[in-house]
Amino acid sequence: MSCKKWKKKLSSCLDNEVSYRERLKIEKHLKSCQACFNQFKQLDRLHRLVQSIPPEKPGPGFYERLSERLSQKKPILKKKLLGWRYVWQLSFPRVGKIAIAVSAVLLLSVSFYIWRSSISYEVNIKVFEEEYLRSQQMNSFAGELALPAFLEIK
Amino acid sequence: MQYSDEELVERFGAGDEESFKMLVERYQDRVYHIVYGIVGNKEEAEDLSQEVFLRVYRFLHRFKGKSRFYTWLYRLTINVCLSAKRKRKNEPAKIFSLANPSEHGDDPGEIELADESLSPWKILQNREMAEKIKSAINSLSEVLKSTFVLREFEELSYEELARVFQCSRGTIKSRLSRAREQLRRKIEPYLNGAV
Ligand SMILES: [Zn+2]
Repeated sequence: MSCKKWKKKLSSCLDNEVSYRERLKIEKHLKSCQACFNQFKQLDRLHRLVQSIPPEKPGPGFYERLSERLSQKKPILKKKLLGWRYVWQLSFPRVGKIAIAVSAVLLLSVSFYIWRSSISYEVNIKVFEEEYLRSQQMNSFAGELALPAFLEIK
Repeated sequence: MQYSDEELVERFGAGDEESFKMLVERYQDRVYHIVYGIVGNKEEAEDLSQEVFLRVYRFLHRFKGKSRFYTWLYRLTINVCLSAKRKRKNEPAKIFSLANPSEHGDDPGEIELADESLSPWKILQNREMAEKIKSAINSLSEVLKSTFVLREFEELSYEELARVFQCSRGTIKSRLSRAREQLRRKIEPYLNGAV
């Protein structure tokens, strides 16, 4: 195999991304070939130099700046809905969820019952009103009858 | 209590904003470091790192947990960087040259190498070397650069890199080999002395 082909393998050898057998072959070549050995040493030094450069860090308050940008984009309604979903999914244990579901069903049936009975109450009022109006009519009818008599008195 | 990435993702999916904050704080330095390695200047690195997390916020529900969270995050990071570069290529007249970081407001005095016991002359030489390496990295093509940066800065395995770039392990292997060969040629004088 030519040196050009060996040199292509040096980088993955450096990264420990070659099989054990391949590694042995490469090492064997490096022992017998000064040019490839020098190149391997240079690549190794390049790696160590890159590693020695301290990482660049963002300035303080990165998250605060981010959340400001987020709040410009985020629709408030969605956040509220998500909030409720979160409360439901995370805040209650399973037993709690069942309890809430059962009480919701109970609450609904009780409200329905009350609603029904309030309807019949309304019906009663209607009947009462009709009876009241009828009695009023009777009164006015009686008044009409009485009117001439009243005039007569005058 | 320390949540795993995956737990935080799940909690955020259920609407817990605090989990998003924890994810940001866990990864902001690493994302910034990668972005800086690719774009080469602080202002843009800040802006694009924020863009990365804005997209995390918007698209995290698409993350299905088939791979590790950080490979998904790094893929997003690379996408943001490369699409910003593509956009900028269509813009007229670039003001700053990426090959020389000191031209766009980066104070070379801020770069220091780890060993504090070095003499001032050595430190100066190291700073110069760090600058040379950075500008050499900047001169790589976008694809070679981002592969190299993720390998060197984040020490991702070839398998993980293949997942990030959605290509074969062989492609990663050849990209890294080419990137290193180009860098080696560029800074060869610095690679022969003792470090
Ligand atoms: Zn050879």
